[in-house]
Amino acid sequence: MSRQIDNSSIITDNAKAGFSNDLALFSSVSAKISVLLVIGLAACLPLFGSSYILDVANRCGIAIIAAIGLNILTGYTGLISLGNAAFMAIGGFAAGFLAVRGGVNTLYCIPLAGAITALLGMVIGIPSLRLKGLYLAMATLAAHFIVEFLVVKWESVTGGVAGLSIPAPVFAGLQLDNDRRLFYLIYGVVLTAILFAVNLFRTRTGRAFIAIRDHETAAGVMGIDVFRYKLTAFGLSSFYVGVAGALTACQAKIISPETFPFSLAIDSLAMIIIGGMGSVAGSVLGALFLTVLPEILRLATTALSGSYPALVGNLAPLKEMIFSILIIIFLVYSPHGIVSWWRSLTNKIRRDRVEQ
Amino acid sequence: MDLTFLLQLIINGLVVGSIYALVATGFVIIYKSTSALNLAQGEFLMVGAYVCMQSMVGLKLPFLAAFGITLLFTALLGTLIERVVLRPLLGSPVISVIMVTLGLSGLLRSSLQLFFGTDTKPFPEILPSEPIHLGPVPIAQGYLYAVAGAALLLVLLTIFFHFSRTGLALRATASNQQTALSMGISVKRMFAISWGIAAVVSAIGGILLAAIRGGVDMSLAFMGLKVLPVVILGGLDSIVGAIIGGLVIGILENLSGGYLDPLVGGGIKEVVPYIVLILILMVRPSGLFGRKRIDRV
Amino acid sequence: MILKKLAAAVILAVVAVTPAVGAEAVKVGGLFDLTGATAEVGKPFLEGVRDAVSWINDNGGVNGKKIDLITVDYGYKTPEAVAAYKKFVEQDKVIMIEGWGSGDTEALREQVTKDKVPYFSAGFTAHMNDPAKTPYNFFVGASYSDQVRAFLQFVKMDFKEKGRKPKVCFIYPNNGFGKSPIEAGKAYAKELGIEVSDDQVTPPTGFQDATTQLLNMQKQGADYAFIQNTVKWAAIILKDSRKLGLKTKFFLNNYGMTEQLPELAKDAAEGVYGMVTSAPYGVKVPGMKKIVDLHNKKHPNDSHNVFYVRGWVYALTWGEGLKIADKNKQLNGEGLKKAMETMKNFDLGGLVQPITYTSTDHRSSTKSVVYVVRKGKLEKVKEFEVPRKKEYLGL
Repeated sequence: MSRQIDNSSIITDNAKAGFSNDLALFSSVSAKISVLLVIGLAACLPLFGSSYILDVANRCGIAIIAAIGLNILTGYTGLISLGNAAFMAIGGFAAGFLAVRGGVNTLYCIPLAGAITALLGMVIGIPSLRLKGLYLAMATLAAHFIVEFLVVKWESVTGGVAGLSIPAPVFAGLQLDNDRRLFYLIYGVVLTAILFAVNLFRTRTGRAFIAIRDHETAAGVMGIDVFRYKLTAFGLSSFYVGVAGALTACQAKIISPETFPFSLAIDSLAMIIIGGMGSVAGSVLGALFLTVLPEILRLATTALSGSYPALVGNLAPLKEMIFSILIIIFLVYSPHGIVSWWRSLTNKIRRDRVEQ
Repeated sequence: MDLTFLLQLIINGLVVGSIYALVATGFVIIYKSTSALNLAQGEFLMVGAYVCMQSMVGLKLPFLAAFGITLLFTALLGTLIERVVLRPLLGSPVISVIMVTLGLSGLLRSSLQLFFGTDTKPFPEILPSEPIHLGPVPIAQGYLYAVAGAALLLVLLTIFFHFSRTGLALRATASNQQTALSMGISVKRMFAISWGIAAVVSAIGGILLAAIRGGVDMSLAFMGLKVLPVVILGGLDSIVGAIIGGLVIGILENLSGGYLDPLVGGGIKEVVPYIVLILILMVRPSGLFGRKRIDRV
Repeated sequence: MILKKLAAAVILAVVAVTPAVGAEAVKVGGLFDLTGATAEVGKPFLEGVRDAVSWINDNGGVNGKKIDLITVDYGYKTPEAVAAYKKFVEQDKVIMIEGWGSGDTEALREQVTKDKVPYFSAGFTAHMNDPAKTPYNFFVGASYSDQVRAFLQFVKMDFKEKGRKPKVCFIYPNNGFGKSPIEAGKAYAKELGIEVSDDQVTPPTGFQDATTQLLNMQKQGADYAFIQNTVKWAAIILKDSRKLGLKTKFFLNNYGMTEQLPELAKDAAEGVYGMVTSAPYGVKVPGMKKIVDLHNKKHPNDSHNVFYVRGWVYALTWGEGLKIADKNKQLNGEGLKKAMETMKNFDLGGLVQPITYTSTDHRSSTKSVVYVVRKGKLEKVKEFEVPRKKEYLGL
């Protein structure tokens, strides 16, 4: 019996008919204005936000980049990866190595790290040509533990368990050594990453990814070079994730093997599932949601710890429990993620308007 | 002297391997009948160990009673999980099922942590710790009990699958759902039963492991990930494969720990299973004993 | 209706989040591990710190000001510690931080120096006792390296066999905490004429079994082994050693040697030696009285151990520092550092070796006390003192 896997049931529809609908992200003038407004407001954040707020904001930004990267591979191309943390580690340590041992300005190390991760991602991706579905999930999981081992052992490059202390990126003579200064760098990258990803799925390459995800054999028959596009997906995705890893290094200032634990890979997957698979907006929403949520929990438990001391010790399991329940609930009841709520809401508003 | 060293490594590998085999068997039972990859298998093991410990320490029950309660509890838990979480996802893509079991593993782990805390809880001594000597090789008695227990359980499972009505129905469901349905087998019930059995088998693995170690804590869940190389080596849908795969990985781990770790300064023992996993996937994705799957369009 | 409920919920949440602390409070940030790899030793430590802070507050506070301890569980994950640190310093504006492990201490080392925030860690890495490199780092008790040196002194004294040198083996997890004293230990072994066999390395977390490591150690014939790990992992190693029937004498560091050891390792704990830097709970020393009194008053049914006492020791030590700083009208990070460095043979009534800090030496003490497990109880054996050599600073 053949079990045909129907990937499309979980994934938001994003191959659009006709070019006019492609601008769905900015489908109306009001939407355009509100997007610009959000960007404008966000740009002012460093002026009034405390350093703690900026730290959270920066971690959100990094999570967004990593989530978009994973979504390109898993959400759009249908290749399941449990290796996101490993790719982030490769990016982080590549940047760290170039900056510490090579003396390169950390700023330039960020794209270089992306490129190195992309290259390695493609090498690791080669087995994906043979493997599908859960087998690929297993292979990437194994890859995670092997990368972790190499990071610990290859001391001359990674600093081993002691890790690497990352020099601050320098932009036009300015040391980007705190979250306030890093904010613009990180969100510059975030914006570029979003725009590139949104545009990608209007190109031949992006459409090929989606075709492979929806039906690999059919895509091959249609003349899509499945091998080439799968490899491209691995490369592009790894580039994003590697950049996220390099930015993590800049933000954390010191990285060690435990900066990139396996749970990070699960977090990334949870982000795209809760946000919306196969949707750039979904990656953004999921990353924001899952990065801010633990902070709210932390603030609440810290504040209440005076009256309920036991809460402090229960924060971590509580957080994990809420995460896990959310993942399960979303998968079972809302497989299209947060982004689908938004869509149905705007559709409803539009319909209401037409009716009036 | 060196032969003793080798023997000891192999014996320890067999012990650890037999627990891998148990957990992997649970994993395969679920995969065979529902084609779901259960990444929460390690948590089932942990639930078993904790429930047994709590019945013995908290309720002051003798071991056998605690053992019975644990089996009952985990069987119910397994079927409940299938009913509430997995059934709505029938027919969903692979990633949904993988992710939902990852979610489950987090849920089980955090619930246990909220309930029991993170400290290592001492496990009552049910296996004697005094080693006995087989020639030059000292072997902990607990190890022998563990291996014997695992072997006994696997024999029972085989009998169950080949001679009992439910076992036959389970096998029918696993080999062809349509045919099973037309024979009047309730496939959904079979799904629930296989989750129940899988949970029970892992729980027994957990109790054995806790008894050998003498304590229970959150680190027991690591076993769940260790089992993946085992099932890939043995073949995802083969119980024989799970058993042999478990023993092979157990021995391989110990040999690499004994001979390779001193060369690289430790740590290789833990990655060897994953290297094997990748090699097997490159060469023979269906594993040693698995059925080759053909994708029909 | 829904909106109203939502608004009520938001208001509730805001009220809950706003800390209710007076303006005169002395804010201290506390990083603890309650759920991570070292949780079983982290939890009693936090309880100790918390009880000591409430005792200080009930007994005059910091010259009338109350200490407000803001606790965060970072799960032994360095990135979490870094995030929590930023919140402590920028948002809560704490004067100092009560930190925890070697990993977080190492990661925040440069930052605390820059921010001038004294950082007390419960990790005893010798890296942190050279003020020339880490002026704002403190810990209370003999460093891991000095504990290993004391162990080697014990080996030298204990080994009676003629005609050959004693052989020791180091067993440690592959992380910063595990590796911290190994280099110092090997150098000192050479000095004393003790042979060292190959290191046996365990994974940092999640191992169920140390048999291969122990078999390799046995192959090289080590007479003594030092386990640099926390009690739960040490128990696994000891139990496996008993299964293999090894004759090696085991030594634990001050996170392995605790009242919990016989509970976890059962009879495998018998005859195991270990270092104790702060007194076990309930021993008859003058400083213990207030701890036992508070215990009887607040939670008479809890059981306590050496880590609970260590929590007290830490809080009482920096509590004293805060008082001195306040008296000097310098109740800030820099002032606290200076205050700490005026402490000379500060005595906590036998809870810990007398504490001395100077601006050039942050070794509070170089003495360790060796204990042994007999019939499931900790028994004192002997004190060892490592010479306060300059070249040992930071190593």
